[in-house]
Amino acid sequence: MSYNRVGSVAKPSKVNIDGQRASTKAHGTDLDDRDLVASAQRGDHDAFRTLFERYHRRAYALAYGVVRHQDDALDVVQDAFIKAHKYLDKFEGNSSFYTWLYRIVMNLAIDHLRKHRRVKPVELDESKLEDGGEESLLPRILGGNPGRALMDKEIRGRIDQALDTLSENHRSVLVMRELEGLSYEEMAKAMDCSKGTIMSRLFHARRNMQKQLLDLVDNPSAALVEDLTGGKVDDPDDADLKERAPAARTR
Amino acid sequence: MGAPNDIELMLHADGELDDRHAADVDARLEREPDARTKADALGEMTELVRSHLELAADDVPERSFDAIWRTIDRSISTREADTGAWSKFTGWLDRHRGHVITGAVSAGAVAALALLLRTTDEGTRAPTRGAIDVQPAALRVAPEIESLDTPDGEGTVLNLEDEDGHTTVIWVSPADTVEGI
Repeated sequence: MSYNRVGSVAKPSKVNIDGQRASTKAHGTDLDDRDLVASAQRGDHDAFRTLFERYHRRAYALAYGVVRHQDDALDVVQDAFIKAHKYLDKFEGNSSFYTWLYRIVMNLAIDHLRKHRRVKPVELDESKLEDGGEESLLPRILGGNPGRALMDKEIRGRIDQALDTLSENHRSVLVMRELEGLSYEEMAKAMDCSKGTIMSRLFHARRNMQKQLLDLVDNPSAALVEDLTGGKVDDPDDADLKERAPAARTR
Repeated sequence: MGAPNDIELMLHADGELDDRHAADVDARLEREPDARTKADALGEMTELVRSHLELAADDVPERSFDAIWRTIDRSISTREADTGAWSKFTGWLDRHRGHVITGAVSAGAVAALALLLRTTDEGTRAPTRGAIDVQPAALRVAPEIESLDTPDGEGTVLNLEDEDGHTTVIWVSPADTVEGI
């Protein structure tokens, strides 16, 4: 899992480094997932509650990344935990509880999209994956400071927009990879397709995301420039950004 | 060897290359600042997307999750109650399997016997099955108790039992009566 990444963005998150929320319930956080699962399998409600406390936000982030609506994502999380409890007896611990849970979340999220079809799927030709030209990866996004960029509402809104423009398959792969750090093989299993297809979807998804976000940086609003630079230009990337801004904003 | 291509950069960033190939890409990245910038941009976007989604999760108020937990808890309790009742029944069935089978076989035998006897009994009764088997009292053939000698004719004493109680009828027929006159 990817929550213990090195060099991750410092963000004002309430989730700790293991993606676990501190629990004030009877079980606390001292028990590991295996003990909690074993207790829950014996009918211990508090143990299952602790598992919920630990993973509900992480499960939500995954669901939200795919379905893109808060209420829908909450529904997916709710159904996922109900399903997880129903089949808990069949969970043998071959993977971690969260790995098992995210598969349930992912399947439900994809099912939800298929049922509701809020987003029109736009598929690229996934059999082709050519390097270079129009479809090459781009060398920069937001001047190398994603932490600061995320403090800006305009950028977060643009990330949302960019995610919305991706097809369901591209977005699902991107979210699985970027949020959960799944391998291509794991994603291929989850999406019932080949590793080559996963690689292609991921490449196009990233390329499209980069393109969407660079539009923002190439045509930044004055407010964005000021938010990103803090009004001071001492970084070459920031200076470049400021040059492209139409007008400086006065606060 | 030149700069790694985009596919190599992506596979490298995602940890999908084997050790030898990954080391080769690392070496080429050292020599190719443009490729290194692309690799950094990939990492940057990973952080943007991941952190953005985690922040989105943090934006959801805790009461929303409390509400869905209550729904989950209710669902679990309902299912466990249903499962509990069924488990009790199947458990009882398992413990008393012998008695249940004996009881079922006995009950079946009694039911079959009752059905057989009922069918036989019905076979001896009136063949007009379904017809009303009750005749009006006036049409009943009254039991003849005894005959009575009367002058110029004959009489019959009849005793009838009906819903009104016991009735005795003395029926006298004159000897000179001609039918039809």
